[in-house]
Amino acid sequence: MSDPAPGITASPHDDNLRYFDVTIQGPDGSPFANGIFKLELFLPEEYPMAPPKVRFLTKIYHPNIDKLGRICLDILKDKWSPALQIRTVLLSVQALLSAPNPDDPLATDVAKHYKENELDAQRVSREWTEKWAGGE
Amino acid sequence: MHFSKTYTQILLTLPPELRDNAIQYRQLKKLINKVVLELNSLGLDPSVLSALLAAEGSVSIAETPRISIHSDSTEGKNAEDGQAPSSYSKIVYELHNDQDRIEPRLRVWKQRSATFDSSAEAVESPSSEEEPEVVGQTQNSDQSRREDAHHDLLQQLRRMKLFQDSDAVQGAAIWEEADHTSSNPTDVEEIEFEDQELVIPLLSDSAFYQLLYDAIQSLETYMNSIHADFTTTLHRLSSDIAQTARPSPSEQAAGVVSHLIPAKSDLDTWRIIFSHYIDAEIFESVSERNRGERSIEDCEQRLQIFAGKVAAIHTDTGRKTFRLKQSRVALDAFMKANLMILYIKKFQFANAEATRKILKKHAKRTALPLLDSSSSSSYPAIDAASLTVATIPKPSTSMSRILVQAIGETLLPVVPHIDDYSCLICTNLAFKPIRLSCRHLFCVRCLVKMQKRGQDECPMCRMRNVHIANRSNVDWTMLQFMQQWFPKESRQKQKENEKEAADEELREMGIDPNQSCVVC
Repeated sequence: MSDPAPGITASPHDDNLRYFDVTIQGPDGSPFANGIFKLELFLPEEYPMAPPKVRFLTKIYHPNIDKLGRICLDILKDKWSPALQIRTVLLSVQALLSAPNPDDPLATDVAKHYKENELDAQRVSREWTEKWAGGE
Repeated sequence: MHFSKTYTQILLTLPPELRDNAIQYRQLKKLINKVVLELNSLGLDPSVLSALLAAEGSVSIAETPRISIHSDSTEGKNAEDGQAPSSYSKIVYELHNDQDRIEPRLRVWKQRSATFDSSAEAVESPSSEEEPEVVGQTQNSDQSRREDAHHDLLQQLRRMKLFQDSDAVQGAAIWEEADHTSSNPTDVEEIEFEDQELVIPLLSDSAFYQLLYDAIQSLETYMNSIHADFTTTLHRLSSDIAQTARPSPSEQAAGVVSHLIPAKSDLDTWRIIFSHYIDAEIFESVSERNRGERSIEDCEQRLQIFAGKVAAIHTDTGRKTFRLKQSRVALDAFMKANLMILYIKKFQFANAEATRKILKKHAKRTALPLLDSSSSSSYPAIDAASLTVATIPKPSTSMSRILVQAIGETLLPVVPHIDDYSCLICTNLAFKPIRLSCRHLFCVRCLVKMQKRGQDECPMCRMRNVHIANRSNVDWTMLQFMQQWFPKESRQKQKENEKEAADEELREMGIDPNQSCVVC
C-alpha cells in the first residue's frame, strides 16, 4: 500500500501477488490495544467485483471473529462494493475491533459473554490480546 | 554554535534580494548591549532587575511582594513596621504601543508616600521583617540578593531624586520633568505621582523594539510583494505550458481543423513531469502518518531527486524530452519557481528564528521579561503589557505553503491528471465513461461486469441503478475530453476492453480463450 493507514501493514507474497500478509494494531481504547494481530488477505480472481477473503491468524476474543479467525463483517459479504480496496477493507476490520457487535455474532459464546457481562468479556479480550497478540 | 554565524550562513545561501530584506540580527544584538548599558545606568543590572521582577507576577496585589516604606529615611525603620501591610511598591516592565511607536518603560508603584528603605519585605517571607540591616550582608542567598536588589534600585531612584521629599506628598503630586525627545536615557520622561506611580521610559530599549518592529513590518510587506510576483509568474507560466501541452485534436475535429492545430505538443512530457512532481511531494507530505510541511533539508533533497527524475525522462522514454523550445523555457521557469519556494522557506525560517532568538537574548541579557499575553496582571494599569502581542507582529503564515498551493491550483491543472478521470473499480482511465443516474462515473467494462454478476448497487452510493444503465448513460462530453487529453490511454483502454469482452464471450461459449485454435 503506497499510503498505509496508521497501525496497518500489508505485503504481498513473492510467489503469489494475490496473497497478502497483514498486521493490524489493536485500536487504542479497545481491549485489543497494544496487540499486533496477524491476518491473511486473498484477492480472488473476480476481485474487485468480489470481496477479498480476510481471516485472522492471531487468536482473538471478539464476538464477530470465530475460532478459525473468520470475520463477520458485512462489507466482506453481501455489502461488498467494487469501489472498496484493500486499504478500506483493513480499516473496516480495524474499526470492528473498536466496535464489537454482539447482536450479529459469529462466535456465539463470546457474543453471549459480551452481552451478559461486558466488563468481564473485555477482561478476557485483554488477556487474549496480551497472550496471543503481544507483539514481537 | 553561535546563532548569528548560523544565521549569516543560511542567508548566504539565499539570493541577494532576500538577504537584503532579512532581519538585522547583529544590529539588534548591538542594541541589546545599549539597553543593558541604559539599565545599568539606572542601577538595574540584570541580577537586580531579575530579582525585582521575580517578585512580580503574582496574581493579586495582596500577594505582591512589598518594599516596606518608612516615613523617615534610613533609620528608625522599626517605627513604621506596623504600617507596612498598607504600603507596597512594585515594578513592572511594559511596552506602550502608540501608533506604531513602541515605548518600553518601567513602571514603579509606591503606595503611601515615603522614602524607601532597604529592608525589603516580601509577604511570603515575613521573616525578613525581623532581619536588621540586610543590605550590609554578603550572603549569597536569594533572599539577600533580592533585598540587595531592592536596595540598589531604591538607592538609584533616590539618586535620581525621584523620591526625594516624597514623604511630604500624599500621593497627589504629579511631576513633569525632562522632555519627550531627550536622548539621555536616565532622563525622566514623565513622572506620574498618583499613588506614587513612576514611569521610566527606556530609550535604547525603544530603539531595539522599533528596529525589530519595523523589520518585521517590512518583512510582511516584502512577503506580500513576493507573493504577488510569484502569482504573476505562475499565471504566465501556466499559459506557456498550456501552449506547449495542447491536447490532440478530437476525432470529430480531426477532419475539419486538424491543419490549424500544430501537430507538435509536449503534453506527454508535461504529464510525466507533473506526475513526478506530485509523487515527489517536495514541500508537503500528504500521507496519513506525517501529513504537513516538510523540513528544509527534506525539501531540498526531494527537489533534487525530482530534478534528477526530470533530467532522466529523456533516457526513460528514449526520445527527446521536449519537441518544443518553449517547453524547455517553461520547464526552466518551473524549476526556478520551486527553487524560489525553497528559498522563501529558508528565509522565513531564518527570520522567525532570528526574531525568537533575539527576543530571548534580550530577555536574558537585560532580565526584562519577554512580554506576552500570558503575562497578565490584576493591575489594570499594566494591561498595556498585553499590547505587546499586537506590538510584535506575528511572523506571517508560511509563505512557502501558500506558494506551493498556488502551484497546485494554477499550474498543475493545466495538464489533466489521469487519477481524476479513472474508474473507481478498475482504477484505469474510465473509458468509455458511463454516468449512472446518481452522477457517479465508471468505465463501461466494469459496469457490464457488474450487470452480468447481478450487482445493481452503485459502488459509491449503493443506489440501485446499475441494471438500468445503457447506451444513453454514455457521457459523450467526457468521452471526447478523454480522447483529447488522454489519447494513448483511451486507445489502450479501448483495446483492453475489447479483448476482455471477447475473451469473456468465448468463455461463456465454453472455449478457453488462452488455448490455441481448436479447429486448426
